[in-house]
Amino acid sequence: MGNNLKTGLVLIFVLAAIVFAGPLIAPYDPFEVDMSVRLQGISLAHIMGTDQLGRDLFSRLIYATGTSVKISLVVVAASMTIGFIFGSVAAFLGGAVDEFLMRIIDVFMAFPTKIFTIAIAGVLGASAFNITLALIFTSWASYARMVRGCVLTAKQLPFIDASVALGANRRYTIVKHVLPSVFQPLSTFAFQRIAHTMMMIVGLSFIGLGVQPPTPELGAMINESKNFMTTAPHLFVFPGLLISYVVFSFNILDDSLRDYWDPRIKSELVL
Amino acid sequence: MKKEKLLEVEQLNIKFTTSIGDVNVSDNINFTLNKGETFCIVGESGCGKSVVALSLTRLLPENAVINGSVKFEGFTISDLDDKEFAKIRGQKIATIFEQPMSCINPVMRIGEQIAETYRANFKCSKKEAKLQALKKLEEVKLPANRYNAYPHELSGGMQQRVMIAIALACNPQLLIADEPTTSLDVTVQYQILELLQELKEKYHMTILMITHDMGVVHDMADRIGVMYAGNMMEIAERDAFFKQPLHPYAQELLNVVKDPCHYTIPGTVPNLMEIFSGCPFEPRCQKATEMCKTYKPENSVRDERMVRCLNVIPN
Repeated sequence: MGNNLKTGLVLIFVLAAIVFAGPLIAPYDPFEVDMSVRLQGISLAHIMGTDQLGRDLFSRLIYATGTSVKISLVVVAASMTIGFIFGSVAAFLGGAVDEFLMRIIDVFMAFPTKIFTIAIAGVLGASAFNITLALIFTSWASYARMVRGCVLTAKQLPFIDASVALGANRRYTIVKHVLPSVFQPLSTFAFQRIAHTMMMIVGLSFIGLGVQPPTPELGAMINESKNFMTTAPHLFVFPGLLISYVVFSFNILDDSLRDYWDPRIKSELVL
Repeated sequence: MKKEKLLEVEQLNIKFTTSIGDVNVSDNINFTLNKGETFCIVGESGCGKSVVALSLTRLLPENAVINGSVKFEGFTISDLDDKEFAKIRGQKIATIFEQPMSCINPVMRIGEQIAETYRANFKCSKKEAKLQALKKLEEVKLPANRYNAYPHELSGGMQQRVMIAIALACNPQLLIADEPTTSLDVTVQYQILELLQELKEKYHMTILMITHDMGVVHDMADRIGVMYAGNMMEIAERDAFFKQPLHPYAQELLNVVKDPCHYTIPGTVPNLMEIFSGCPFEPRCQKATEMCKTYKPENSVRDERMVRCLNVIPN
């Protein structure tokens, strides 16, 4: 196991703890308003200070990270599933079905993702559920296209023919040879997309089209903090750092997993 | 002594339908394989050798049209539907290919691949399959500690050994070897051939070998079939063949081997999209007569020998 992978796993583990065990760690209720301590800096009582309504920033950040990461996990999982089904059906059935499905996918690929998401959020109204839908809607097509490509490449590899020649049936070759070769690039791609989707959610929330206040969300928090930029910089510095942290940890994990799964690179690491 | 027949191929016609016309790659080919022998098909590239071999296990692409009858142990396998036919692959007829590297899954450990092949054909526990795989590794003379190696960690010769171990996982009666040594260097070639010979005797296997290397043919073959442009030109026992090849094409092939630096057969293999009115070898044949242009030669058979030429009668 390379150092990058170890780092990535540790970072992700910490992140998972923040996301899933967050309510246990958080010292305050993230919605609890206490105007007597508004816009305070770092102190023992509030280790990351408080915001303009006197809410504990540390507690809010823990919940906010949970919101952003959970939405992006849902978006990635859902679009990966839809993409996987469409892509593999297209590649395995081939012919007219393939042609038809690929044209549908082309239509979806043709939409500019950001503008389309903004449009959906605008029409359906800004909420966490709506931007989840909008992001799934605009991102599944690229998974489908990638899965189809991988399956088609894998299908014509000589060792598939060779295994058929030696008695493997169709199901066996699909399960043992084709799907594993799809799984690796697909999961690398998905990890990479988690970070990307997270940036989208944060960005949309920042411009007010995503998660709505008072629900804690990193982008929305930065948006709220912009009026106090000069007087209370901790309000945007901490969420900003947290965004970088999440994106960085998913990226490093994705990168090192790719190397880890490649037996060629792995043997070099062992040496 | 009467030889038992393992595989009988009769009137095998194969053509590929393409958007620019049909390609005839096998024209009324007949041959039989006796149990326990090695039959080599030789010929230049593009003569249809591999296609004939692949057609026996139905591994050709979908645009291939195959006609004719193939009998395996007296049982017509060419009539079986695809599902039943799949049971023959691996268990009865196994195939090894020219490029071992690309024919083994690069991301699966080699031992696993041998074991998986065994498990795919016979239902058994994983443990038992692993024992079998280790036994096969030993038989192909790979150390047992290579069980967990990935294909890229092995040399070409070792990869071909793995390929052989996978092919032999289910003790097939017929092994089709499609140029098994072409991608290897000469000393490794020799080792692989020796290994095949040894395993053949151990398991009483029959080998159908596709090659264009006359040296390999001389070492391995019991009988030889010479193919040219989709036609089986000559079939003969090895000794008789090397003593006196009858077909002009076979003679030319041997001339090339005798003088490898300078001699080539003039001309090239014809495009198989042509429909030959006469003998397909006629344009390159030094012994061709006027008759060869207009009449298609038929098989003339005498004892164990078959020749498809108007000017030669086997004796």
